[in-house]
Amino acid sequence: MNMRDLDKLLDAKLSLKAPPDFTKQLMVKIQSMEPQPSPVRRIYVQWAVSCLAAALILLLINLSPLADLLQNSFTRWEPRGNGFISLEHVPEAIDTFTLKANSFFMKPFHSLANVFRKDG
Amino acid sequence: MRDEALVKAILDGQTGLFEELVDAYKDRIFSMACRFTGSIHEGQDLAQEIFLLIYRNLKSFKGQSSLSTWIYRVSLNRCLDWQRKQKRMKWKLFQAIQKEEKDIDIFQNLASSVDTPEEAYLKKEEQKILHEKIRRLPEKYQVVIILYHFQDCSYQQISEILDIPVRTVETQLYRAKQKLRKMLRNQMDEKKEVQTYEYARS
Repeated sequence: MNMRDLDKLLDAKLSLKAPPDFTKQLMVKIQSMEPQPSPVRRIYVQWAVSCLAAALILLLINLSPLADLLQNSFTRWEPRGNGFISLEHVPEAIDTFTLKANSFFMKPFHSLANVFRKDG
Repeated sequence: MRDEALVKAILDGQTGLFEELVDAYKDRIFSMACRFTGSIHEGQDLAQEIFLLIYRNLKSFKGQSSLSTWIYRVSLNRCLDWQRKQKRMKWKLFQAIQKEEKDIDIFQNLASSVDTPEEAYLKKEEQKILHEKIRRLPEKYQVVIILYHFQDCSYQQISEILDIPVRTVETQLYRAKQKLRKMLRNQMDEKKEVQTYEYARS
């Protein structure tokens, strides 16, 4: 076989045409395709999930002040004569919670300060 | 409409334009997929996959090359992936059975009306052997043969699709044909004799 024979062989045309319903089938597939989140959006979702998890952990750690708050609040929020719950103690309860949360978060810094104080 | 504008319009939700794009390229991509798979059915599935891939990745078209070059590049890469996956398949027997079915498929429309039944039969056999050998060529040779001879791409187009110099395309095509000629030389003659004998007997 020489080069000319090979060229002749290679140039033999096969009639390979896409079936008539090719585009229709494809468009049906495209329309049924669920939109996939872009990689950027996926990163945002991952971040959001991580933040939520972190918040949950913090909440669990701070459960004791929160429990106190709830306990304090509920014991104080007793229904009055008309059956409505009084909200007059809410500011006080929030103050208690803030104080406790503040002391919880500041505790390590206070400890650190104490270390330096002892050294000094 | 310019390529970038067309892509932007499709991304903005004008799916009708994507339909037009598919209509413009479907025969070429289908033909390429069939050459790689050797089967009309598998070629159709692969071509559909390619268009889905193109649709999903339209965002990544930045207009650095023409849209047709980009489409060819995506298609070619997907076809090569498909082929690599097939080569990794361990069920040789299963593959062999599949191949038998495939061979009937792709060459069914080859014979022209002026051929005698014997000529048509021989032509079909020649094409089967040719495609089998092309599939056995190293990837870089296979790709240039398919693009140049079966997709009617110019050297310039091939060089853009493969991102190699035109001179390299020419060299690779020449080497591919030399290799193919060597592979075919012996087998084709032998097989032709056997086929003629078998046909004469039947």
